Amino acid sequence: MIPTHPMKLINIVANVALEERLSEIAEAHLTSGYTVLDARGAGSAGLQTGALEGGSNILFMLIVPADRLDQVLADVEKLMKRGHHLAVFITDTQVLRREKFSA
Amino acid sequence: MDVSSLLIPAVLFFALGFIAQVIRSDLKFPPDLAKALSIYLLIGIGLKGGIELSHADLGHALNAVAAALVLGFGLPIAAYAILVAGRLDKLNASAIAAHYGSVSAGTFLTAIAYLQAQQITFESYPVIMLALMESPAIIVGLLLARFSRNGARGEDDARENHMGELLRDAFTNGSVMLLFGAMAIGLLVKPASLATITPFYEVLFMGVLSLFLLEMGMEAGKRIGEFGRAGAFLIAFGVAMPLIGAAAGIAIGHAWLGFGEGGVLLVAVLGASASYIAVPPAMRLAIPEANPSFYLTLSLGVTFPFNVLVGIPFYHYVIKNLLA
Repeated sequence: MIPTHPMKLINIVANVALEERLSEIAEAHLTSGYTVLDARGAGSAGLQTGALEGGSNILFMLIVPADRLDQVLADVEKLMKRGHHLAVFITDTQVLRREKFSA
Repeated sequence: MDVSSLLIPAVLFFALGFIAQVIRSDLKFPPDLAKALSIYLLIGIGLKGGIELSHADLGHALNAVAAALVLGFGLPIAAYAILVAGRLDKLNASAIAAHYGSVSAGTFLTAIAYLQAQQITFESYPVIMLALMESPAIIVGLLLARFSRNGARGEDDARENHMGELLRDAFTNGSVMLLFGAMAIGLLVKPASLATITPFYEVLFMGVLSLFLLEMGMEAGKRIGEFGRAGAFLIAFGVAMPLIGAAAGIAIGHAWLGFGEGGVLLVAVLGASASYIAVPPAMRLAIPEANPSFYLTLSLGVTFPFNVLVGIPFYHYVIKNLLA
């Protein structure tokens, strides 16, 4: 059986304008990388149709070892405390090749 | 008011998009098309402004610049005062005010299409004013928000409170870069070289605008569902503020700049319109506490359709009577 390793997957739904700030957080915590998808939907910030920048969301995904989760979330929460409309959810995940995710 | 003046492609495509959305048609645009079209339109307007500027009278141009700054700084302050008087919280008021000081290129271009259909000539200076009016309103919005936050939050290193950072955002805003960059290119490049790209930006321009307005009509239609969240006061503001802005624009275009019928209408539209491309992302970063649903619903769902369907012919009617 191929060995897998437990990790935490942080999913952040945010306006596209916040992509740079989120990638800065990822880089500040020496995470090995992140993935960004375009997203649409609706929530506390109203309808996000994706047609114009002001109404376009991203799904920012980041995988970290469990011991680094709190540090990353603390920085993400700082953005939320400033009023930014983010939705953040964390899931347990398994990865192949641990070294890819713990740079 | 002559209703037949509204029978132009720009307005009808907007109405088509709006109706398609309201009757829940399955019409959909490919993702990111509106963003691509808006880049094209902003470059097209910028180039046109630059070409006009290259043979403009410097005195008149500077006058138009001053008028644009007066509108750009004055209108958001007026909007803020009205919103706060209506008991809206100050941060939401700051964010909405910034949208109303800035301009909508889509509305402006619809007004140009409206004038061209009626063969009414217009001065080129309002194009320069359009490019200039994106930034001041963002700056006023930032200052109002900063002022509103005083005492409400302690000293912190939040980027929202770094004025330098915020001003950089206001001037490096994508729309501002495109408008000014294309204007500089239009101004600097020799007409013979420009001729290689002008077919793309001039001949096709109104066709692209019709596509853009079709999608914006759909976007406006989608916002109707958000009216309840915004509330009656804000919806009323979305109709009243363009009237105030148009009145200011008519006064400035007529009494100060001395423009003809077409030019005054364009300045009125600059005053009346609210941004939905440049300002929302800027406010997302600068005033994160404000609710995007309020400002997008107002600028895109209320003021934009109002200006395109009612405002432009109405302002024109007032101007014609004023000049008669």
